[in-house]
Amino acid sequence: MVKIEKLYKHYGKFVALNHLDLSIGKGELFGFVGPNGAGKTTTMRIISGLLKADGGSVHVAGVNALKDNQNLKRKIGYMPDFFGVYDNLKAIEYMEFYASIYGITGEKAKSMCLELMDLVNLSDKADFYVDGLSRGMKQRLCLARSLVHNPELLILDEPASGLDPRARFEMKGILRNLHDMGKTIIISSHILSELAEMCTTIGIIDKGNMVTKGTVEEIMQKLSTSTPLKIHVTGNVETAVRIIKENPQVENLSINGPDITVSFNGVEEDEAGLLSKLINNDVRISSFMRETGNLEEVFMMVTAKKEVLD
Amino acid sequence: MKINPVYGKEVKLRVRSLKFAMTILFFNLGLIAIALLGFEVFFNVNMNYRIDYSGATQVYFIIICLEAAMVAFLVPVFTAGSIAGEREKQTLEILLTTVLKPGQIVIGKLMSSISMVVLLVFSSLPVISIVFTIGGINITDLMQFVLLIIIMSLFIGSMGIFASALVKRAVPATVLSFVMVGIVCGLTAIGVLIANTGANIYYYNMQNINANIKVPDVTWAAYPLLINPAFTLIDMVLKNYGAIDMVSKLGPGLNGKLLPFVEDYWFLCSMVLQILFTLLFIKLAALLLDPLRRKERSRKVNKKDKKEKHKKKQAALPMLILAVILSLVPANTDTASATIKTKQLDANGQIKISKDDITATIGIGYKGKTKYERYIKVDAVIENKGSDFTGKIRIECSRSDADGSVAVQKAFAAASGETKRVQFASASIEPDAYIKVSICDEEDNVICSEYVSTKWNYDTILYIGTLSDNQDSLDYISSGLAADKNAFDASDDGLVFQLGIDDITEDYKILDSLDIIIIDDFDTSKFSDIQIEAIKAWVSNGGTLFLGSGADADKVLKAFSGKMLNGTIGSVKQINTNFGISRKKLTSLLGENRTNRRVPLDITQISIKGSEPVLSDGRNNLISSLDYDNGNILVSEFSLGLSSGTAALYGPVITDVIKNNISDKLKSNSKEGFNPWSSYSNIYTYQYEVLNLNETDSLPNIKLYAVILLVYVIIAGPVAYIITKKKDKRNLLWLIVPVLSVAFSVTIYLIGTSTRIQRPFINYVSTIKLPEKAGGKNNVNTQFTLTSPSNKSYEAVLPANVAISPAMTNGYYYSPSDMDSNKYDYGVEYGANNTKLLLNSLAAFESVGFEMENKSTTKGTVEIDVKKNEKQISGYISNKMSCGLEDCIFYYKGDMYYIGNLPAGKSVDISKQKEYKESQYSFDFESQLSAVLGGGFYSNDIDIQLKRKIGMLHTFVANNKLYDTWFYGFTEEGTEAGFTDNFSFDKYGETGVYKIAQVEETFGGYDVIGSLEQYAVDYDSAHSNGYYVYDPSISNFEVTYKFPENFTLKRLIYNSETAGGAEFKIKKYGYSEYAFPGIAKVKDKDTGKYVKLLESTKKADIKDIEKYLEPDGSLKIYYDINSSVLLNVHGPDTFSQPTLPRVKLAGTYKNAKRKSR
Repeated sequence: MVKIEKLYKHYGKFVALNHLDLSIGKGELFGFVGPNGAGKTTTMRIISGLLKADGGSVHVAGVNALKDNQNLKRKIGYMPDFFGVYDNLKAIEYMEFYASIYGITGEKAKSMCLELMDLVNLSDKADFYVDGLSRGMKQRLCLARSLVHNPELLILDEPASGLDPRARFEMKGILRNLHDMGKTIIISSHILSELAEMCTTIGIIDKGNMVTKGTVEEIMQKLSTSTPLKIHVTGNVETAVRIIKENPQVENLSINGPDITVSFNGVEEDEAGLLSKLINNDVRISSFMRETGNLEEVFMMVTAKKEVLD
Repeated sequence: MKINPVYGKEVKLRVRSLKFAMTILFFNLGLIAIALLGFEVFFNVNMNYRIDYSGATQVYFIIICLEAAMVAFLVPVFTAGSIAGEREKQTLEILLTTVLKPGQIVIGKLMSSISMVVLLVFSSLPVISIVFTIGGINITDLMQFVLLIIIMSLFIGSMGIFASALVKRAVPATVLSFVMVGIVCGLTAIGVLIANTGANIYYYNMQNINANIKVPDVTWAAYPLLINPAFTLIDMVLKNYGAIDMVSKLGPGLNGKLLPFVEDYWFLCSMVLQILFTLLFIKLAALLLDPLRRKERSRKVNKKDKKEKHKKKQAALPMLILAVILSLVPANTDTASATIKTKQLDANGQIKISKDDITATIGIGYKGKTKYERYIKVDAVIENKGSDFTGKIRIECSRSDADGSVAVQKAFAAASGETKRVQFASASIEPDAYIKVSICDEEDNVICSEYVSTKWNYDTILYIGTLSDNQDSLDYISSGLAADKNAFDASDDGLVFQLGIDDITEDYKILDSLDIIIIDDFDTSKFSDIQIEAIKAWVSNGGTLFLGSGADADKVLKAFSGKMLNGTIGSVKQINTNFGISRKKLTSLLGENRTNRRVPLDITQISIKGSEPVLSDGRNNLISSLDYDNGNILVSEFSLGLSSGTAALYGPVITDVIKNNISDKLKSNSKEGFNPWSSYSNIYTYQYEVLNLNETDSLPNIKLYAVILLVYVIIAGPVAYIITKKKDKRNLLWLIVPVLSVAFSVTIYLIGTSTRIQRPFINYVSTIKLPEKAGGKNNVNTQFTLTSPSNKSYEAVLPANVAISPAMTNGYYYSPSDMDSNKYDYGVEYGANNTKLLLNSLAAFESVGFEMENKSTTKGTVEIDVKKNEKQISGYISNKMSCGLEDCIFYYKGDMYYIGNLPAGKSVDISKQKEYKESQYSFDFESQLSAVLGGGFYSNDIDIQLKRKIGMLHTFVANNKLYDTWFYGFTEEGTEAGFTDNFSFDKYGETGVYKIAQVEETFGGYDVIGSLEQYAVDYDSAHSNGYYVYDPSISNFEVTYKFPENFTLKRLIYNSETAGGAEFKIKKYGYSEYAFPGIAKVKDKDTGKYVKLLESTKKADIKDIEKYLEPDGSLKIYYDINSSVLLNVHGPDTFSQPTLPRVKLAGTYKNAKRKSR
């Protein structure tokens, strides 16, 4: 559905997207994660045709997004992170206005808009002025609005930001429904856990590069190898350090008295090998474990590591 | 058609609130107030002494200018906030991700932003339609205004949208859009100002170096004004007012030529240019909105450079348009310099103009000389060396009452190789004014033209035309022949112009500049009947015809016999004569010792009925005079072509006779101010006012329209809103309001049809000067104005023989630039088969004056047989005319007798008529006349016929100050006595008849001859004209009075009656406009000392005045003026006009009694 190759964008000296590659399959609910300023919004705006790319290519449903702006816009529905509404319109009129942009007017527009509002649980608010709706309702209305032309791809920039837990919950439900209806959805957030619950695929972006991409499980797997081994040694610390340093899979280590923290990029079998070698060399060990931590911590580590390597 | 979604949404939003309805309500209420107030001010008969229909167009202009101003102020506010507002509300981005193209967003925003303003303008159409109840503006004009407003809104709106797209926030965007409007309206105007000022500075600086330098042509500076909607609006308004070339009015530097297309179609060009710029700004705004093209705004590096580069690129198009226009300018302007060049006439007063095979040698005036307020002779000889040509010779003079020019033209056809002579008279122009002479083709296009400056004189210099087979023998006549040598511009000599027989044509007005025509030694049988008629008309109109006879009297006199002269021609004899002149007199004429030796002379004894001798040598009558209507005829019994010796000696005698016997009309023209009425010197004011007295019986009923308009605004405003709100169809308001607007406009238009003036109309005043004795049909002289309810050109075609011409102009100095290149405002064309009045470029309801003469349907006269002695007036006035008269007045020396109706055939006893003594009305003619007729001209509450009569009487009095006795009446309504020519227009006016009368007045058995000022002959014109004292600081001076031949002064009476109330008023009434302040003295012949004759404010009856007379019967009075008594007469710091005393002169005639005048 979406294929991004070597997408490049800079603002002055600041490189926002550094030859980013990304492809999203049809029907995916893609979670786009990255810290603020990583390039999420830039990418989404380029896909939506709101921003000009400086290099690379973007194809959306077979349409060259960088060239064929008009066709692109028929394929996508976009909801920006910050948006306003027209104060003095009723919710239904708000919807009808956007429908009219796509040439849908009259009764047809009305019934379609009501359907969409039903989809976002706003059918009872049709005659309310937009201005009077809560933030969450506005968010949902805007979502419904982005669906008036039945786009194949929905791009939602931080749809949950600023919402209370209940509103977030509702929004998640709606998105799941949409996903079930077969829509391809790109949803961005700087909170990984939020996306992990519902997304089929997750991509992590940092400093204009895709750090990683895959299913939630794959990501967890990938991320887990990156967590450090924590070893508590009760004696013979020197030997332990020597043996650990000899291991080629060790990238880094830090020593804090009897506690040794090791960046180890081996799988479980390699961990077992390391442990038995230590024990065979008379290193007394009271604790040897991977740090488990939550997604957020992992995410932080991934992005932080990158920073160190840089 | 698919409605732009943005537009659709916005207009939906706008009608939602009550504000919409209230805006329509209060906006229109405001306009209604202005319109109704305007109509009340202009068309309430109780508030106006006369109704000026153009008030309707003025109200119209006020409203449209207000609306244009509203557009200029509101549109930037609405548009500048539109896109910036979306951006501020963060709704723009969403719009941009939809399929809407940036251009659609911009157009939608622009349309919706101006829609409210345009709807407001549209909603005001019923208010504007009130102009249709009078007219003056037609539907096309209104459409033009609507078009202008829409395009102006789009243009200004597009600038606002551009600003809105460029600047992120609404407030700075608004500021920027006002700056842009300011640049378009202000900078273009300032550009003109700077260019013009620069050109003028250059001109004034260079003038010292090179006198021939012209103001540089900076007309190109006017082109940017094409994108100035304000200027185009003003131009449109002024074109409705009839002004043609707005640009040249901007300053002397802008007198050059614009591209012809731009000049002719300024409005169209401006509209097209505004549309182009609108499209450009829309395009620019769309580019600014397009996220994919706006890369410069998302980059931080080189932001400035790129922006500028981008801007430059975008600005290239308008620059290109301007550059193209400007590049075309020089090619067109090098032929026309900024200041129009005028040429001098050659020594014969001619100018030659030619184009291709047509050459015209056009003579202006008599040898280039013309007279103030007289017709100008135009005499053109056209040579055609090419194929047959049909065209016109045109004379244009600038108008005095407005910019523009008046044309008089005569059609001619010159076959191949033919030479054609065309003569006609053009209405008079200003002193030292310019005349434009042109040859035009059949379609009225100028094919070649030249501006010439003319030489001009007052009537104080006599113009004498001579017609003789021996012209040079009459040259002596001019010497010393000035009408009034005391007048400030007079020379001692008159001007003699030698005429040919062809100079006399059927149109006597060609001769109008001539005061005297001398025909001597000329075979008048060569004259055609038409020429004799022309001479007759010229004399009737105030000319003095001097016929010489001598040995072959028949040769000169016969042609006039039975037509102008009745009498007998006797035998020829040779006499020796000294022309009846004493040596002393000859010396006084020639200024040195002369011998009055007798000279031989051939005379023919001629007896002419009704004539009086004016020169005899005691034995033989030599010259007789015959009054003829306004003019007179002198007939000499000898040939005026005197031998050089005789001319050297007695020429001055002949000259003196002419000088003393010029017509009354010329006398009154050349010597004004005998009468206190000369305060009515501004004849033209009353004439203008009378001719612009419009009918008031069908004026629109303002209250009715007020009700209709109020109903309209209430329906279109709140009612429509409430109804549509109830039905939730408020969107329909966008349709309902315009539909209601059109419906009410049509209603007002239809109701207004009953009062709307739909075709040109004529206001006229006709006057018939009644003849001494009943003869044939009377002549009617008509002044009329033609007024059209439209500013479109039209013409009136009349039969060929109509004596019609544009009315004389009098006004200010005008330069050639006041005359537009190709379009005169109005004029007359004399054709072979018709006479056309051409109304070319006039504002609606702009009246223009013409004058014409025709024969009246009335016959007969009014006979006046009235006498007066020191006690009473008595006698009869009889209507011997073929029609009844009404509002008849008899006037004698300040007192009026109201006769009222005087049916045909009836007589009235004057002593039984109601008398209105001037002393009862503080000697104020206006209040006296007001009492007689029952109202003043400037009263609001009298009917228009009466007002017209009052105005006509004022004009008459001002025109005939010299006469102290007259009868004036008006032909009965429905008589159709005067102005009867078959115009197809409505005519409104009055026909007045008058007769200058003579009343034999006696006092103590003596004949009364009038007052001193009529006989003043010698005075220093520096401080008096014989009546007024110009410079009261000169306290002593002398005036010589010369009384009629044969008259001996016996008594001089000075009292409140004789003084016309002047100096005696100070005591009695506490004020005076005129007064004699001081003492009059005469020299006692015995003692040589001065003795007091009379004194200011003190009655005097000098019974021994005869002893103070000079040997020749004249009287010298020495005045001691003490002007201090005139101070503060009217109030603090006022000063009355000092005059010399008015008295009653009584005496006896020696021989045959001659009537005084």
